[in-house]
Amino acid sequence: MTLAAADLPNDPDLVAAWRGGDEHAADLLVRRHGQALGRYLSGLGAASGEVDDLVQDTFFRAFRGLEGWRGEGSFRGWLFRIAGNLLKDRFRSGKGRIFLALDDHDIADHADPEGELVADEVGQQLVAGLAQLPRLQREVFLLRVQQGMAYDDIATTLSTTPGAARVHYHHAVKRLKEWLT
Amino acid sequence: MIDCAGLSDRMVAVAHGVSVWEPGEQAHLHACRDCADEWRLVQAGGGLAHDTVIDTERILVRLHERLRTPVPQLRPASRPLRQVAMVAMAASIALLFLVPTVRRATNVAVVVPAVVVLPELERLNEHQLEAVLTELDGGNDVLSPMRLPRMGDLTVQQLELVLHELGG
Repeated sequence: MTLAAADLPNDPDLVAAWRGGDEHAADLLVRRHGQALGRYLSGLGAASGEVDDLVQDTFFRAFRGLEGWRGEGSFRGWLFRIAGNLLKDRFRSGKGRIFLALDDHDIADHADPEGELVADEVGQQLVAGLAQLPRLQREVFLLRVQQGMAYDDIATTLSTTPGAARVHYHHAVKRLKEWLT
Repeated sequence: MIDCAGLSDRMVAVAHGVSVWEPGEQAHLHACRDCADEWRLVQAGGGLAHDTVIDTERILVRLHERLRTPVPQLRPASRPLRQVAMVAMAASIALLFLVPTVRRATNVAVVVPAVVVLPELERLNEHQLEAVLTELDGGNDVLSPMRLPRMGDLTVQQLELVLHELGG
């Protein structure tokens, strides 16, 4: 039997359950957000061999520091914040790479070969363009475009205002468009 | 009339399958080069790193191992250090309440009642209380009501004492 989305416990309930000693709640949170975190970290430039460790570290810090999450933003946003800071620390210590390389298998296997070719080209250019952006613009762009977050959530995640997040996003888009043309 | 800013705001929702383009919006995308470029960008960004696959089971095993490891406890501060900290805290609180006057913008002196019950002070022994009062008397000429003592205010000897206590 498949549970409808509405039947699944929400993040605050799972966090409360984990605090109460339910390890299974942590499993659900990792399964729910781990993949998106991995994509986000890859998009920010994490080496593919380090993504698992970074995701694990993100959850470890999140569960160990739950008192730091006061529920004013989403748990998901808080995870992205931790992940971004972890990667920043890695880059500072020289353990991260400058930016990810896009391998052949990174491109979706769409049914439309011509469309795939265009997506391939734009995707590779985008990767290169993202590397040129200031970190905050890169984070805002990825949270918005890759993760589909609203400006309010982005603002909470990155400790800024929704207005500032919107400005960073438009600056990022403007620069990336220039990069692509 | 479709405006570019409005269309830009909707791009993420459409790219993530939450919404679909209206016919008018689609026509605008075909006609407006700027919007078309942004739409290509949003589509490409939405699929960025889509093939990243994490090993969830391995992550969970390792995560639970780490979470079961007890959090290393900081060694409780030694008794003399606790006393020093208590005195410093009491002095800080006392400074807030015992400074007798506060000048307003009109230069009219307002007297603040000096009698304040501070349980922290009652727990101090005679020597500790004397030390606090000495500090207060000696510091009135340099301490304003808004300036509280900080670590940087400690003398080298005091700092060494604190570090010595912390290091055991």
